[in-house]
Amino acid sequence: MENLFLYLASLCLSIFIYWFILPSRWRRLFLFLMSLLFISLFNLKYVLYFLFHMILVYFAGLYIDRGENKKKLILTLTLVWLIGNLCFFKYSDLFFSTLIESGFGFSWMPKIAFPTLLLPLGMSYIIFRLIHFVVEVYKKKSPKCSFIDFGLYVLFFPTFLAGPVERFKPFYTQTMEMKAPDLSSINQGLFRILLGVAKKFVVADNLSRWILPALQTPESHPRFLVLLLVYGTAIQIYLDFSGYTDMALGVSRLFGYKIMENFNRPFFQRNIAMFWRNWHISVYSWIRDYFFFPFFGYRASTLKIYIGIFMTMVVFMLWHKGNLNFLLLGIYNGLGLVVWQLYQEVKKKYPSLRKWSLRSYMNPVATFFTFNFVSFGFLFFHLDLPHLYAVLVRIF
Amino acid sequence: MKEKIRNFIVENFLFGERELKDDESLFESGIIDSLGLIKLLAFIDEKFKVSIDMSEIMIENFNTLNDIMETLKSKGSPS
Repeated sequence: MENLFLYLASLCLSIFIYWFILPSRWRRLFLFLMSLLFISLFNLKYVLYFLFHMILVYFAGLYIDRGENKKKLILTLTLVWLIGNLCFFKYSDLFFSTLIESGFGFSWMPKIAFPTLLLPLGMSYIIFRLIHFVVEVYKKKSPKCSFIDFGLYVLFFPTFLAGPVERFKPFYTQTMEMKAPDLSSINQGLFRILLGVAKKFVVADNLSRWILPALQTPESHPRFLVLLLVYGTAIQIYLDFSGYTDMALGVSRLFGYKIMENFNRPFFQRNIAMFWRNWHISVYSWIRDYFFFPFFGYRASTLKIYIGIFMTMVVFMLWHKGNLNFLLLGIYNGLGLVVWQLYQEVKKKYPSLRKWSLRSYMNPVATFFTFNFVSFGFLFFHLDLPHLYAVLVRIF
Repeated sequence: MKEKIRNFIVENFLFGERELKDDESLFESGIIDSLGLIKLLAFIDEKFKVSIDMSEIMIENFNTLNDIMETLKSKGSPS
């Protein structure tokens, strides 16, 4: 909490300098330096690591933009390097510690201990922004920009820790057309920050203090309470994550930026496809645009498209965290999406089923069913398999 | 071309149960999703022999019927 007050005090001071002391042409550089300073507070090595990647991607972009020969090769090498880095830091731990250290589950295999790698904070978001930038330059859809403007987009400190992964063009347009905020923007920004603080620090953190220990011992609670704990887990994860987003969007607003929304009432959606389209929107749409469409395009067979839907969800979940639980969460929701798509095909063949599913009283039923499906999936966030099994046994 | 695409969307995604406006968002209103977009692109490819490059498959290019026509027009297709 002390850090939070320190952060808020520094924030107020920076906003004052940003709008009232600096001439407009220096504001971008100031925000960029602020972002570097913010990251260096966590670890100076992160700054060097990210600067190296930014220089690499910026110059790759310049080369590609000049339309030189082998621009496809440069794009490919840049993407391989970025994705390789992300996978190395994020998944080598999953591979080494989960599989090799356990001897692939076989007792006769030698057990080898590997050191744990420290994932640079915010890396998953930054690598996605870098990939987006270089691909858009290749597609000639990215405006020309200075290194400072590019760096500001990549490291923009309000969205550094937990996104959203904003797209370059809307961010850069706002940088170029920056105007002093009106009273309503400031009010909206402050409201979002307060909303985020309330969601994250008042509700979500307190809920998790109560829910998580209780979920570890489901056998000592009544069945109905355990079911409520399952629902509470989903709500806690939503409030935690969307609270961070609210704070990020609110702070961005105070610096004159309107960043994309990351959540759109996900628990009120009437099917799993709509749920995931409205949950962590910036990353889900990123994976759809840069993974699903390029690798499982419209000339693919129906089977390949279904595999694509499944894989998109697995990649989406593993992007959040490289461990077995998130792999299982991806498989669970991926299968859910495939079954839902198959159900759509069945509905086309049976008009009576379609009409029945469109009846108004089916809306709350479908929403409740979707909420239950995703809530049970969210248990993978916090529980290992034996505890998850114990919770399911207690409820059913 | 526009009417044929509209009919395709109405028949396949709205099941002929209502009309589709030119500027109605196909994605935000939940009429089509990623798989739906792929089906729509396959229809356009097959019916009008217009192949869409992978790099052009972005929701913003196909968000409304008007967007779809703009995208196709930029590829030199008659409207």
